[in-house]
Amino acid sequence: MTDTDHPSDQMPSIWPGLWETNNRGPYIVGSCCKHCRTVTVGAAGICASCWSAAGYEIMEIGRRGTVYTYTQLHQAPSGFRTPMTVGYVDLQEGPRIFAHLDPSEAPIEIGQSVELSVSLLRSDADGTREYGPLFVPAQEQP
Amino acid sequence: MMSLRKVGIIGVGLAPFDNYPDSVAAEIAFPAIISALKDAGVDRDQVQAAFVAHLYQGEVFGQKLLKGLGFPRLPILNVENACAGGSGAVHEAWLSVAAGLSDVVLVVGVEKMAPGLIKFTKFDAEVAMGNVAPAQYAMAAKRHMHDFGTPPESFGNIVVKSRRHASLNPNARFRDPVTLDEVLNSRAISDPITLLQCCRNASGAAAVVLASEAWCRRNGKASVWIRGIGLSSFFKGDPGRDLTEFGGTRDAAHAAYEMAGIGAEEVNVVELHDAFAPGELLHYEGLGLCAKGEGARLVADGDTCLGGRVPVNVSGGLLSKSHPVGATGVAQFAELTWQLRGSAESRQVEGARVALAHSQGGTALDVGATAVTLISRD
Repeated sequence: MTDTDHPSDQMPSIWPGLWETNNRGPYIVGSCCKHCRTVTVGAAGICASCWSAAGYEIMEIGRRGTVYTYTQLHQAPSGFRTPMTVGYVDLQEGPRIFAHLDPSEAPIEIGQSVELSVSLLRSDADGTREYGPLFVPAQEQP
Repeated sequence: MMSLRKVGIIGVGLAPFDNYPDSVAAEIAFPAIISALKDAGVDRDQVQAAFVAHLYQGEVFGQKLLKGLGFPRLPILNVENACAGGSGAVHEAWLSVAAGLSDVVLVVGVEKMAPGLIKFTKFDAEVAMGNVAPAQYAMAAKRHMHDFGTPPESFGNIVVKSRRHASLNPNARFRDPVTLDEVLNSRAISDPITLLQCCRNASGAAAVVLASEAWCRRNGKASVWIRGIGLSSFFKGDPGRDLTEFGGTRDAAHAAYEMAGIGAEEVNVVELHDAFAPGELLHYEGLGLCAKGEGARLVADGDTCLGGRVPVNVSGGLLSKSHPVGATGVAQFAELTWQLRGSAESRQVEGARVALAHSQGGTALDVGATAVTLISRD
């Protein structure tokens, strides 16, 4: 990892540690337990599977996934623009995460193959601007 | 398992759910507590322990509450399990009596809330990214529609039924009937959920008094009986987890049926956690009222209407009564006790002998809690 792996000051993360970006584009931060190799998103100090405190190897995951389910929200917490499409995406490496989905190019469907981008998800009148995962339908569907 | 004593519900009280703009939480709860004790025919000095469910009322609120009614210095436990806190408090109270620690205990559920979406006190990643309770129900509904061809009209018809039931319940908040068109054409909230498919926040309280069978016999008290009770948890993020299972309902129901030695087909009346209309349909399946994927048929056949095979939410449920978090689960016990006593007037389920209470908390979070309790007349 280099310093450029982190969201920049211009793109503060909506949930610190959830995503990063490098020259191959954005990715979800996977934590692979050094002891039992279980891959999770949002790992804590001790592995939930084997209780090892040996630490994690950071893995670049979630560049592709499959829509498990979704909804279009017409009422959302402050700072989010409506309508907004959100859903659960099964990452190709296993974990399932909640994320935003982009229906502007192609309608979102269950089972659809999607690709990760990172986008402005939340902006408040006080100047808060937060970026996070936005999946878009993949060019090539399986 | 250790041998457990049979536990009865000997008194119930309700402070109907509403806005209560000029009352603090304790003032809302006092009438519910007093009516439950009067209904039970016990004095506050006879209560040996109390279990108080609330989410937003702060530290040791239960102690402040009962001090305000001049209770002696009895053991008091505050219980939080998000929207399933009320039924969790009933569980702890039941256990205290069943294990022989107490003979007479009080359960109170109370909440004072502002309108709008439920506010979580701590964020997780999903909430930070804008996940809200209606979205969680909507996403489960979407997957159910995809897997089983469930039509969105099923969810709408659940609201029509809820309001029809509520029109018979003077304790319900929204008692005007609605049509399917009105439900489906109300403001879009989270596809397929529309405004009328959402319960409202409210303030309110409920209380129940539990006692051991031996105490009931000694004191000549008639009672309905807690026969089986199950708590479960769910952790949502697991890969491959089926969201149409929707929380821990199946696990909690299984535990309750097992303990009671009662099957789903023997249940006569159900109060379940219909925070949003699709939740009711999903919980039919989790409770075993129908097979997996057949919830829509149960709605279409009218099986869960008053007069049907297994009436659900004859009180109007959360959809027509509203949802003061800590009070919701306890209020279900008030309704089901009236049903089993045969005193539910025009909304009475004829011949109700076995009743089931179900509530679920934390549904919009990454994890949550579910409780199912079976109560019977004998």
